[in-house]
Amino acid sequence: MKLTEGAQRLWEGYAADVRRSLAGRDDIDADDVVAGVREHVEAELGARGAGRTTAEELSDVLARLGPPGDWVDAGDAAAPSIPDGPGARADDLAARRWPSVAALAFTVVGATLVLGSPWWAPGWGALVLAAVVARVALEGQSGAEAELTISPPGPLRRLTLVVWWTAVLAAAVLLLLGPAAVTWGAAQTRGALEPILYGGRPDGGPRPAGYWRATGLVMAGVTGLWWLVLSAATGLGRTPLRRALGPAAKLIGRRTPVTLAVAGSALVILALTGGLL
Amino acid sequence: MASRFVSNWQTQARKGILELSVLNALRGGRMYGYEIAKRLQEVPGLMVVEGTVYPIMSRLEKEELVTSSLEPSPEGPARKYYRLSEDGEASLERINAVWAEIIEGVESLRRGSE
Repeated sequence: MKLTEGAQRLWEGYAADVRRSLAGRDDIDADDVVAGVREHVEAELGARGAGRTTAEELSDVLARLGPPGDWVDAGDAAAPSIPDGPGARADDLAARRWPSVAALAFTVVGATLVLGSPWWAPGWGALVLAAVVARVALEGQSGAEAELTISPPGPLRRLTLVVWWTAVLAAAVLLLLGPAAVTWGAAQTRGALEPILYGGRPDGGPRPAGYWRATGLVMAGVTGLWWLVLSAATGLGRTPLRRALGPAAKLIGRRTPVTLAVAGSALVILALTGGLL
Repeated sequence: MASRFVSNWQTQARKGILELSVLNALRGGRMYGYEIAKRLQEVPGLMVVEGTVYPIMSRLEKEELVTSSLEPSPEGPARKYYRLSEDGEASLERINAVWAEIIEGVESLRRGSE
């Protein structure tokens, strides 16, 4: 876009207005919108031929685009909600199910209680319980999907949302690091990991040299494999994982599957190369 | 008072219709943002300011109802083309069915009171 100095300032001000009007909107990518508007302006100006565009010419185009503050208001409908029908019922029921993030976290915590050191498990258990309780409380107050987007929330809803999101984030950490935690727990337990690594050791004897290094490598490998599984699960569009996560599915971005795949592969390679050395 | 009421009603009615209109515009195949904006301008009664299209496209893309791709353009910089995703096509079918129901229902009310 070839602009005079005045037109350049006008454009920059307009782009800033666009970003301001979209501030705080998680459902809209402001960079994307600015890029689209720029493309629109270029298409309009391109039709006028070569040469630097003046502020007056640019102003005509921007006037037809309209004030950014009006766009979001004009187009800001709730996503079309599907009425009762077979497909709609399944979506509604899926969103209303208890989140599998909490269910998976319970499973991991349970496995750790069985295999591992119990001193930190009750803390995780309390956070997961808080997630479940908060979710039930939110479900009781309103519909399945709207709970995280209704504004402005009252004090009780705000508190419930804080508890919910804290617990969801904690459960997400557990979901990512759960296998590593279970492996660590197993390593702490006498006789659980050593037969796999060393074919057993005498009761009461000191752990062999390199035990914790080997444990770390196993943890890395297990975590890497788990992240590769999560990468496949999150990369498959509307899978049961996304449905079951409900509002928490917003945590899964477009780059999440790739990031998990790259990080998971790196951990597996680290574990394999570390084991060979 | 009455004209303000009508004006407010028009604004509210357009809010839901705009996304429906964008999705239907994409049924014909891939389009870029400028094309979509100009197409909507041709719809009588919709009266959308051109910029409204861009937040809608961003939201539809985040909802995975549309996908996009950058393609070179003979007339200048590369353009971002949008097309309906599989989910988008399925959702549009359902939305259009609902829309047809609503229109029929409202028309029957209107005819019944004439």
